[in-house]
Amino acid sequence: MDSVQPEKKNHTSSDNTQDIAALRELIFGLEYQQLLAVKARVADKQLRTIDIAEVLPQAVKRCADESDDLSSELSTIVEQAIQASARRNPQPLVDAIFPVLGPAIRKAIHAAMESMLATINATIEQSMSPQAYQWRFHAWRSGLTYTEYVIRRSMLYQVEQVFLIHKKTGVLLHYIQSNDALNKDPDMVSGMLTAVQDFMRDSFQVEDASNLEMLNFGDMTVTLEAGPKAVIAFVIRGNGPPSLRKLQIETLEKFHVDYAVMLENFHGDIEPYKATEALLEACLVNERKEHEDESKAPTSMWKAWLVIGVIAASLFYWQFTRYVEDQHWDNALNSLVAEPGLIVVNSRYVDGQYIVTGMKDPQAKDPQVVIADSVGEVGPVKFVFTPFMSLDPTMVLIRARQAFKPPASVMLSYDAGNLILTGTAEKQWINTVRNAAVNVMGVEAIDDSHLVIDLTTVRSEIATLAQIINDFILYFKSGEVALSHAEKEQVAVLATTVNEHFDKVVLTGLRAHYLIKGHSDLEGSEKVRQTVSIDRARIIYNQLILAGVKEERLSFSGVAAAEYSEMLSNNRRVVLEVQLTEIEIAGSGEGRIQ
Amino acid sequence: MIQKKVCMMGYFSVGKTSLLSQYAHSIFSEKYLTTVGVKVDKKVVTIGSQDVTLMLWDIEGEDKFCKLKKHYLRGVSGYILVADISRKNSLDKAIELSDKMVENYGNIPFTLALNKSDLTSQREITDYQVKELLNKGWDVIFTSAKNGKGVESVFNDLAEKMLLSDVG
Repeated sequence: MDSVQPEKKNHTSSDNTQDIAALRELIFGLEYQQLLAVKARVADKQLRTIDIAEVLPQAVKRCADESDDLSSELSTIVEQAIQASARRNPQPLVDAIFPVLGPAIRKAIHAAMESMLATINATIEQSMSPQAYQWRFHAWRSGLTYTEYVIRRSMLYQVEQVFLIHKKTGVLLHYIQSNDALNKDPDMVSGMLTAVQDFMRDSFQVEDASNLEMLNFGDMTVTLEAGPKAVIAFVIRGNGPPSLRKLQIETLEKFHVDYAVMLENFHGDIEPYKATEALLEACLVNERKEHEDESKAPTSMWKAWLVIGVIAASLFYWQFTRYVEDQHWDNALNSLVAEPGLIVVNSRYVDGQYIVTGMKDPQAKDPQVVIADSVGEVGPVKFVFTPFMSLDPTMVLIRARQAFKPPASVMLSYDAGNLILTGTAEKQWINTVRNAAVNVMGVEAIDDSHLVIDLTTVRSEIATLAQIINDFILYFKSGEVALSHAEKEQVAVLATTVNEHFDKVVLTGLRAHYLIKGHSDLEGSEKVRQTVSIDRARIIYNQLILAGVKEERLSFSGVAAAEYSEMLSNNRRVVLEVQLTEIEIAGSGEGRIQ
Repeated sequence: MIQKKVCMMGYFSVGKTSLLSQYAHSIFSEKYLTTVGVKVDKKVVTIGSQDVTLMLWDIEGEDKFCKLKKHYLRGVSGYILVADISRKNSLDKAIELSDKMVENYGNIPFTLALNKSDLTSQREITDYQVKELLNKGWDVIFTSAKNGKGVESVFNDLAEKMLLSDVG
């Protein structure tokens, strides 16, 4: 309002100025003075600083409430200031962050150690299990060391659920889950997670700033990270790597930056937090899926071909072994069918064993032995055989051999009911066969026309018996013709020898006759001597007949002593003389005499 | 969607848990109360066109000293005070609790549920006492967990007050 007037009018101007000032005084009065004071205050830098300092906190707060502009502007300045300060003298900065640096480092180390221990524990647990051997094989196949493979496997995890929880109220701000995760009611779970944290603080008297960081249950882990206003919780299935914790912290920090104002004024409206969907979705990481995707197609194809190959090979092997077994069994069965005395009616395979039914002659070979001899081992076989008498020639011959026990020199053969004997045999055996033939099943007649009778033994026996008979002498006292009891016994023994001799002689085709000769001494007349000698022969004759010798085989005669020159006492005796004559052999069954 | 943390408060055995178990959605068993000391249930009410989800923290019954379990009460938006009409001292404790809540958390919305209202013959809380509370500006609702009377009203009343409180 001040004005500048020309020099020449200096006096007049001065007067005018005074007038104007007076006029101002009249018009504005006190207000004008105040205006001048304000003008002076604005011009005074020191006073202006005091004024701004008074309103600055309120002004900053208002700016922060209304928009983020001030924060953005200040952040650049603050960053530059911090950098400048650090360059100039880092000590104050170090002093300032020291109280928080220690806990932050401890927390980071703790998280890393916890994760490493979990991995080592899992590795140790797996090292001796059957799965470990399976993993060793997979590691070898994939070209990894076992340790690398185990760590890779141990690190498999999936973040199934992410809870974003308002720290103070426990209200669930937002929640997402993977497709296969299960959760009954995230709102209530969020509340209880908060309650459990409260419970821990309350129970163990820990600082309010401390937070529950991890819950483990089986292969499920809940990791919680708390910020000033919110808590983020990951529900992880498997063993999450340390990088998950970093992701959790970074997500929470970003959330706090983006929603700082909104969180400050939170009254329960969770609608705006739906916008965190993308932020939280980035947390649903799944390492397992990545690994599976890498090798899914080739692995599955390889496995499929392997399975098909194994099945085909198994089928071929099964068919082949079945064929071989069937052939083997057919051969075994054929050997049974061919075996005399066995009749196979049926054969089947039940519950891992063959069952053969049929009939078996008691003299037939054991079917088990038949199979073993023909094809060897065939596995378990059960035989259900009914006994029967076989008319198979082999079986008839076996029965005949068992019944007749033929000597080695006789061969048996069979033809249409006839048992044919060939070779040489003793007459006695031949007679036994003839008598017993009817008792052997299948033998209707015996043909021994080809059998030569063997008399070697018989002749030897005949000679021995003849010698005994010829050596027989019975002495008498002078004039006596009677026999003592002991002499009768001797004659009885002689009778048995005579009969035996007679029978054996018959076998040789001759007939034996026994002449009993009585002798007397020289006493008495010739007629008397003759009579005595005949009487003595007769008494032996009669005694032999009494002892069982047939009459027609015997004859007797008396011999006068005059014919003898031996001692007289030796003349009173009876002796026997064996006489053999040819006879005509009768009957068709008689063999030839050798 | 609005979600509010609501605490059930009251002397022991006044029926807090019964009110919730029959009229709120729960996935947790009552053993949580005796183990963790709290159980969180959920009740969705509609005020006008606004759905409000009440996260109901059922805190194990306060002892005779009415010591608040502050850890569980942190961030509470409102609370339901429960008293038993057949036990006069339960109302005294409720009043005492309310005073402590005001002292610690300021004037946050609450509703008084006078529970077991079906036990008329055993009633110890008089109409005069109720009238006194009403005069103090309290919302008092007679409830019965047994027949359901007044229960829904308690939740609705509190939800409405909490919404008004936000606006105010």
